[in-house]
Amino acid sequence: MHKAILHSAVALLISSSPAFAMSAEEFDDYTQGKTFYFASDGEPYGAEEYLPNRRVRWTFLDGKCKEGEWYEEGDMICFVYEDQPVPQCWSFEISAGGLTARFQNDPNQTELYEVRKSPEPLMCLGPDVGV
Amino acid sequence: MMRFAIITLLPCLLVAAAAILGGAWAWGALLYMTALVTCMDRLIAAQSENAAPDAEFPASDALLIVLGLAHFALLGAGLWGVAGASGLEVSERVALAAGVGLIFGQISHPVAHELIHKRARWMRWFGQWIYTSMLAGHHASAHVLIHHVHVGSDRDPNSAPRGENFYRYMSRVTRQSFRLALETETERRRRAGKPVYRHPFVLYVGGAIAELGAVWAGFGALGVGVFLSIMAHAQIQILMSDYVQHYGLRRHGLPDGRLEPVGPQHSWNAPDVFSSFLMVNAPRHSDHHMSPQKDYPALRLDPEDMPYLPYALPIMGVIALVPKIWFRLMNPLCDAWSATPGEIGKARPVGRNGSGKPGAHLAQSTHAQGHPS
Repeated sequence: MHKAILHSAVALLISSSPAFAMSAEEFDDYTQGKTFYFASDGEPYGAEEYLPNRRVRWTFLDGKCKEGEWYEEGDMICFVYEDQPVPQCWSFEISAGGLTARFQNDPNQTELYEVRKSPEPLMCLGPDVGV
Repeated sequence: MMRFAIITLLPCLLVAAAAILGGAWAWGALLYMTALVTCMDRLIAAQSENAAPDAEFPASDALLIVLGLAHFALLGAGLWGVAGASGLEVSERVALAAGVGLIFGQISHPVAHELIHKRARWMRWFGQWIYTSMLAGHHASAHVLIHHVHVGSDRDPNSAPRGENFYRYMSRVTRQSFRLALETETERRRRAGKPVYRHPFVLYVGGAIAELGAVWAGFGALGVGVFLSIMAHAQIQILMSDYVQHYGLRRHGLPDGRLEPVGPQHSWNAPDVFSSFLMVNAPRHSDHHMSPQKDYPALRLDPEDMPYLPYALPIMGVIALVPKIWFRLMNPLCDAWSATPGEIGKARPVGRNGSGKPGAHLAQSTHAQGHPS
């Protein structure tokens, strides 16, 4: 009985409270070893494979991949890629539908959401392979 | 592109002329970087135009490389001219040192800044070398990792809050920026498990020590003194550019506790044509923060939502040396731009933004608009 009340109270709390930004540990637990496919405004946007040691591989789904790393910065997760020295900071939230990411340094506030996650690594063509 | 090349390379040639021909040529770079730039900014009534959105600039990287190489050539030629057996008079040596310092602060610095934002690793590395040669290697790390992420907030040492004078800013940033950049880079290496010798501060500090040793070997104690003076001059200008371009523009907090995103309203810009070419469009600063990897000739100005400084960037740097005048000029403009969050894109008819078009103030010679009423 008590448990049931507690459960519904927790459920109510979770559903009514605003989503909170994920911490580094939560983000790592949720993502490591998987590849996430993201969309924005109903359009496919890109995919990212999350590797050990907070390394990542990103693609705009054009067969080209870039390596990067991520770190926690306040309540944001920031990514630095091999061809982009300025960190790209996002705040990640988790809900029933999966990950949502909001881009920090963009007045248009680009928002990405997870459409699929897979245990398979990204398919990357080499840099010189024509598409 | 031609104008970028001519305007940036001419002062470098003047230093070369001073080293080779000697005599009055020693005054050339100093006069170019002060009197000529100021006059040309005032005289050119033409608007500083935006490039077509789809324009490409294949030669823009090449000019950065040429100017980067020129920086190291000037370092050698300048030191020899000022501290070597160049036969120059004492006054000529002082003028040459000042001219070289101004070139380092206002051409080499913007060039190195462009390079550290490039996609290609070797170009970023070249940019780090230029900063290291000015004994400011840490700026290459602090700028991309700290300044760009935290600009307009207390977490970026290089964003001056309203009311902070330049001298206080300078001593605070000198302490904080080096330490923060070192901590951030060290933490990055630790996370990635990379070896210590790949730490960029090995280059920044090791390169600086090696350079000091080379200057000592080549030009003795006098050479080291001259070298340190020229680099102090250059570093003051590096600090000054961040002070002037972000003074008093803060990001508001949002209801959910986050800071508002970096927008065009968080940097000061200057539309003046000549000094923009000289500083490879560094005065188009808002667009740089919005799109850090945009090539410099493609950077855009928009008086609708980008705050304009009352005068050209080099003039503002001089004004900042006199805090009383600086505050009187800038604080009312800061207040006018500190609207509530979400009001991005609304025209604010203050200062030079009020003139509607970039450069239009010059045609109308209404510089007085820059003064608070």
